[in-house]
Amino acid sequence: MRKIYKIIIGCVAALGLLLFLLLQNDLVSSYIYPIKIKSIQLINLPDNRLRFKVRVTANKKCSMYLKYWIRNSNDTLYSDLSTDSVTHTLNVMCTVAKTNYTFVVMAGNGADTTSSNPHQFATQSIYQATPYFDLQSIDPSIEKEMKGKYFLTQILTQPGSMVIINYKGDIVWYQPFKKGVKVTNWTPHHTILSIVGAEKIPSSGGDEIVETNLAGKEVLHWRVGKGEMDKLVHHELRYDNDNNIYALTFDKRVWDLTKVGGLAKDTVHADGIVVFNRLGHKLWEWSVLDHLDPLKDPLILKHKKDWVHANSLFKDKDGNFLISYRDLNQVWKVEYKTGKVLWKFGEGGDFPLQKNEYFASQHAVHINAKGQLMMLDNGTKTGITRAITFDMNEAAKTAKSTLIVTLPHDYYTTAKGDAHLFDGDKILFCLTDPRSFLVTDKGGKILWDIKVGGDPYRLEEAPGFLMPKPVMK
Amino acid sequence: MKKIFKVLTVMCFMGVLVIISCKKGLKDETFSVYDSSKLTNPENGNQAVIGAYAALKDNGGYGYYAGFLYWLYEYPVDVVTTTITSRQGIQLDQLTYDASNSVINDVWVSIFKMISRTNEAEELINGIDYAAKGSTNALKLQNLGEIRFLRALAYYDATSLWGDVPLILKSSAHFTEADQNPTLTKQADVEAAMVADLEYAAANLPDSYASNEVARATNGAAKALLARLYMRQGQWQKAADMASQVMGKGYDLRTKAEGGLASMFNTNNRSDNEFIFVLKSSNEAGAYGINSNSFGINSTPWDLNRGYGNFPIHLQFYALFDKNDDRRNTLLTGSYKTLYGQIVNVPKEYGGLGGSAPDTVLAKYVYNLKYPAVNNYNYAGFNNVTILRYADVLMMRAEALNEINGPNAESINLVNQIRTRSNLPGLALTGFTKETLRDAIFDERNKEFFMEGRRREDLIRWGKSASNGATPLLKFKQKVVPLLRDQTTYSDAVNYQFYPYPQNEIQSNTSLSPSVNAGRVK
Repeated sequence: MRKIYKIIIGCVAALGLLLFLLLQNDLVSSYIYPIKIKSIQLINLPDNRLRFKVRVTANKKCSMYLKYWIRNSNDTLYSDLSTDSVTHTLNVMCTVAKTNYTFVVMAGNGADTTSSNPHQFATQSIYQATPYFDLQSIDPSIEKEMKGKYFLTQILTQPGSMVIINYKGDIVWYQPFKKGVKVTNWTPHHTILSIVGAEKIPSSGGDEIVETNLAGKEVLHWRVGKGEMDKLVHHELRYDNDNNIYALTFDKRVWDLTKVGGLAKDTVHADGIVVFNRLGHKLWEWSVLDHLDPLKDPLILKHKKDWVHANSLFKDKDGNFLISYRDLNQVWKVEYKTGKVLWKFGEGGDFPLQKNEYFASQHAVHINAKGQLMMLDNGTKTGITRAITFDMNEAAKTAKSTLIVTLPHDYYTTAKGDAHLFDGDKILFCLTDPRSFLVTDKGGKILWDIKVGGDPYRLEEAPGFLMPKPVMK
Repeated sequence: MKKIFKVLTVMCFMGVLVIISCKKGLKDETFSVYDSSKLTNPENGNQAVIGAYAALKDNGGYGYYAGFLYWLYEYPVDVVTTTITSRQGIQLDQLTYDASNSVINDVWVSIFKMISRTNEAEELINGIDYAAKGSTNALKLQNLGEIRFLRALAYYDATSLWGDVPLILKSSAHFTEADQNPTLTKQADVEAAMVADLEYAAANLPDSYASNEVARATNGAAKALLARLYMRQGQWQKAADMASQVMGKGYDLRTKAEGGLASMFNTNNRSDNEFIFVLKSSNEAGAYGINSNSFGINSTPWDLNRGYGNFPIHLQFYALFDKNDDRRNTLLTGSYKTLYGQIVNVPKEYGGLGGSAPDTVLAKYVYNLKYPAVNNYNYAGFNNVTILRYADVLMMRAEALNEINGPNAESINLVNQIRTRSNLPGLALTGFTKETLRDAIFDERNKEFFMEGRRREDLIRWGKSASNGATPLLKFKQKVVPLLRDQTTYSDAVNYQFYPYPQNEIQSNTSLSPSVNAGRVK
């Protein structure tokens, strides 16, 4: 009988110890219990009305993401994925203003998964930018494919902003700046690279280079006068395939202009190219002033403040640069490293062209997905803005236009803008003067039309903006 | 036997199940929402510190150190009384206040506003990387020292007035539901937190500041406040040591040659090195209601310079002074010519000049001139409101030394520094006992610090010392009762050491019930 009492006492003691450990100690209990979400903190970000951070703590290490949706809607959106931690910070990065959302935290570790209770958050109106983009029309034929598309553009007045819109023109992501955001570029890393500068700096120029990720974190921020960035940059800022950053710069040089009636020590302002590595170290620099003689321009005294005006730069597959000169109506190819001008294309250039193939004050010259040279021909000589693509034979110095999309006169823009291939056989336009974003087919039929509340510089698709459903391992 | 094992196995199994289900039920997922900070620069830290200093006057005019705190510190005791125009003031003066007295509520709110600002500032400053943003870590530590000094000062007042109070040392971002309705923390625990704050401040604050930043707290201020706290606690050795650490830090008494005490309170002399920590105010036009205090207008009588005369002083207090005492003759209205041409004199039986109608009017009260309202007929007083001054440090050390070992030459010398500066002969060591020197020190303190908010605490400390802690209200009752309009108002059932918790707080804080005011009101 005594033995039985001993056993009973032993069992009770063991139970008591187990109870104590389980209630007190997460370390012990985490081996026994499944994943449990302990706390969720929703963090409003006062300087951004569309973005939220959610800090979640679980009882043990796991992966987590959020799924969220507009209340009473079926379209599910996802946050980024956070892995292998007890505490997670998740980012809600795609929302529209003044809307109520519901979210659920999903947590998992292998087969052990759980989800939180549903919680709510609400976005606020974006004071500096609503309504800024207005859908005018959309052709039913492309509605389905437009639905998953997102577009990056910018507000270049002050206060400026990087902006991503959906196909309806709703702002779904933005990053505000006190200065203007002059140029934006959607990078392969799903970040936004931009030139930021005061409104008064002309020619889409700025004194800061900022790269921001979708969570709003500055992954790179350079300022003129700090580090090796010694010149203002303008019009173009991109990553090349080696993860270096290239841009157009403003350059100036003292020149003897007495022969054309100027001063013995006159200053000519023109453009250059700069290449930085990601740490901000300057790898290469080039200036047009090494390759053109200002004295050969009879109007140099008139032009000396902004001579020939470069307005786009693109690194071709061969590693050399395509630089567009608005005032020359020319595109040049500049050999990277040697700086040699390989050829000039356009008016008075090295390639013979048909009459209707000549372009004027062109913008956004680039090599498109089909390997063709593509540009927005602003058409300042004809008053008609077009998108043109060329098949280039650089060795033979011949070129043939493969596509010319002519826009109605209403969409003529004297300056800025861009045209890119979109969705295979369509064209995506940004047209500054008429303040429009368009998608047309090859024949120029307008399929999608957004009115803009300011002067846009460029528009480009942002593939991969929307977070795919994360996969937890 | 087998059956028993079966039963035990089943019991164990069920027990584990119960525990597991319990655990799941006990700890449910919590959800909270807050705003992230975008104040991340050292200048934001400095702004938070300045905002915390501004809480000293709450909304200006009458707030906290700009006025109402002194109603609670001065009205109930034996120097300052009040006129019949202010009901809230009369309640305090005549000990008839209750939990709904609006001034008690105002000061409570002001104190916890300042505590809240310091807590938020601390959180903000801790989150700013000063060194990486072009400032220095030393400035960060200074800023933290400043706000911890201010928090300790607020808790000093809170514990002086209420004893046990809620102790809140964190930003509202970290509040739990319980923190929304805080319970009362024992005064000793609050004081331990104050000591930690003040020791931190003393270690990180500079000795002095550039002339455009003289209002900021120095390490001398932190040590002087710590000494004051140790005095209140009866920790005499610590108090004496702390007071001596403030000595030799560049502070001194304003001497008779410099114009004496009256010149220190002159509005043209607002940065004297006798001041250790003061509430600074501005005389600029826009300062009214924000950066001003109401002492000037409230201190003097109408017929002197159109003041409101809200701090009349009993003639009995005037009678305590030696007739050669500069403090009587320069800081009290013993005799003055009114705006209407009459002479107002203190009656002869109170040591005044006396006189008779029609040329002379006999004063019913005297008024203090520590807060002169010079050409400044509005609330935008720019007088310094003294919070800590060097004379107090000397007197604290003198008192503490006497409590430790009885009268000695140093105590006498310290008291004499105060006396001779005001044209009085020094005391001699011979003939004093511990008790008689203690009484002399408190009498001297009364004459030195009237209308500076010290008297109430002095009477309680005096009572404690004189009764070995048995009857803290011994001296309070002895001094206050004879001056009450109705002496039966005083009740031995009420502990006048502590004010009642404000009715508003009891109604909004679910942790408090009306019973917390038992023994604090009649």
